[in-house]
Amino acid sequence: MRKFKLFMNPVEGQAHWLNEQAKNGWKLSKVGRLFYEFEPSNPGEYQYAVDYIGNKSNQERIKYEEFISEMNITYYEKPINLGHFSIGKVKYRPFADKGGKIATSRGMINRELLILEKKNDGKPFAIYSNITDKIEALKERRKPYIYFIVFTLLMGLYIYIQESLFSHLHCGITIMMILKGF
Amino acid sequence: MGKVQESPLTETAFLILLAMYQPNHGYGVMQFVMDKTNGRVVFGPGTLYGAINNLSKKGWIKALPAEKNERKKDYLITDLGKLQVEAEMKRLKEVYKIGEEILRNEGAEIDEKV
Repeated sequence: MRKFKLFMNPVEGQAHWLNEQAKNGWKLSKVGRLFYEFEPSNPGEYQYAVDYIGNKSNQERIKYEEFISEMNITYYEKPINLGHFSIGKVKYRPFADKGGKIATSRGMINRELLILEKKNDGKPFAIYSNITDKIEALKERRKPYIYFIVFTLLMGLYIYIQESLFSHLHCGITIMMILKGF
Repeated sequence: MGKVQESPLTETAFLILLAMYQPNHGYGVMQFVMDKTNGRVVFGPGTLYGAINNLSKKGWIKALPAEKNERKKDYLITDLGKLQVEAEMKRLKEVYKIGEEILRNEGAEIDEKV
């Protein structure tokens, strides 16, 4: 069965939705950029969690995925911004960890999330099991948003300054005079 | 060599170190801790990954050379790691004694077999 779904909250929201599917007897079989493919399973046999890994370098991601497999957990890679994923080959990510600032399509682009799947053991599936780690993980998720807000504010400021100063000729001349004065 | 004493240890670090007195891998550590704490502590994969990397960086545990046909990476506690555990045991004993003393004076019963 193929399903299409967009999320306002791609981490908790997506995990919740996948767990609902699992409860109804659907197990993930494949995750594409826009679609999820499901296969029948016993209701509640599997459980899901979603991890943000967009701050990691590609090398770090591979190490983490190896570790996940060692834990007998299946993972599926997923882009974070559905419907708006990158088609380009290189992306600058100033908010990422050391070594992860330049993302490429062979590496971290479109792999910002990991969907984790394991057999249901009756306990909630938490990726981070103590409070410090949870806070750290949330801080990493916040970084791209802060960067985006600062960027937007700077763009707004730039446009505002341009419009208010250079749209009137006399202002322009004043500015020119000030600039020349220095 | 990291700092010899870093006190108190987090519960996560302390339990991982204990689980690695025998060569152990991520999954084994999770099982060990879940078993010993009767399911109270279940390490999430993100927490365990971060903690193992961190302990390894400090030199308290070290990765063993990978064995053939074995995909899982084993770790073992180092002498420096054992020092941390011993120091932590001392600290725990001390605070336990304080708690015991106060509760005894209050006439509370202390369950020795927790």
